[in-house]
Amino acid sequence: MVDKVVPCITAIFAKLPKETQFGLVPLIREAIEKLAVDRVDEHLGANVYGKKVKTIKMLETKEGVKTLAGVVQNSIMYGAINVRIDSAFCFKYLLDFSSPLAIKTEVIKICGALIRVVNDKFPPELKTEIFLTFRLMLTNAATAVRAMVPQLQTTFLKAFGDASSNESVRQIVVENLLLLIQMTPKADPIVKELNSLLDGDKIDGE
Amino acid sequence: MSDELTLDPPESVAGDEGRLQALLMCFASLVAAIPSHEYTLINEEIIDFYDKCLKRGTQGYYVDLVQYYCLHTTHSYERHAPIYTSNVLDLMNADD
Repeated sequence: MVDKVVPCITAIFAKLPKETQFGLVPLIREAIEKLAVDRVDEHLGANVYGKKVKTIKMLETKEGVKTLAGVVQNSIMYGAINVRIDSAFCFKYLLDFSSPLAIKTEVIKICGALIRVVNDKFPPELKTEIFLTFRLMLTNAATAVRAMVPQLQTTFLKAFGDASSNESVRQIVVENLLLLIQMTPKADPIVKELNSLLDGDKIDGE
Repeated sequence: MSDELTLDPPESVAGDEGRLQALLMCFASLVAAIPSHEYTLINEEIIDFYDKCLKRGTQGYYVDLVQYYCLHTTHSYERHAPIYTSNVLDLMNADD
């Protein structure tokens, strides 16, 4: 069935203007959640979920991942806030439910799109989802994302001085930095930068 | 024509996948060629076809139809794209 579904979805998206494609992102999120996401406990929030399946068949193919990632990538860069939040969820699910081989070539593109938007003025809810996606990248696709380590380092450090981040966003950024440090040959530049942030004027309001 | 694809065929042609595929492509070509003023009607036909395929467990025919339609129609199907997308994505983890 997947060899029918992938070209069909590609055909549906092909003739649609970008603005119309944005409207389909919530449907992509909904479809993935229906098939693969098992909510663990309501009070733990939407970030904690179980997996009904290890991978989704459509996301075991490069073309399947590429088709969905293309639409989601545009939406996270140019969509309205609610569409961007759905896009961040979709990226997280793409990283979680794709096979490593199928998503390998898309990881850098996804990473680049997220780096471009994450430190813009967005609500913490969106930032949380984006930094959780980075965390999945660093755990599930570390090799593929290795080339982006310097940019990720700058992005994570910048997030500490971001006035629109909150405590929970910063907590995830810390976890991401700890994962990133394991991929860098030297930790001193990160420690130095954190030290200079603690000096004061780069941390908003403190 | 859609009835041929969604009702039990006579025993003599049952299981003739080649015949069903030819019929499906013929149906899809017709649907894609319908003039603009018949757009709403044809989409009702597609929705009805989906319901019948769902009942019979033959959603693969629907997927083939939508793919052909989107590739070949000259109409803007923007309004119905969410329905097609949802219905097809429901099958993103389906077995063959």
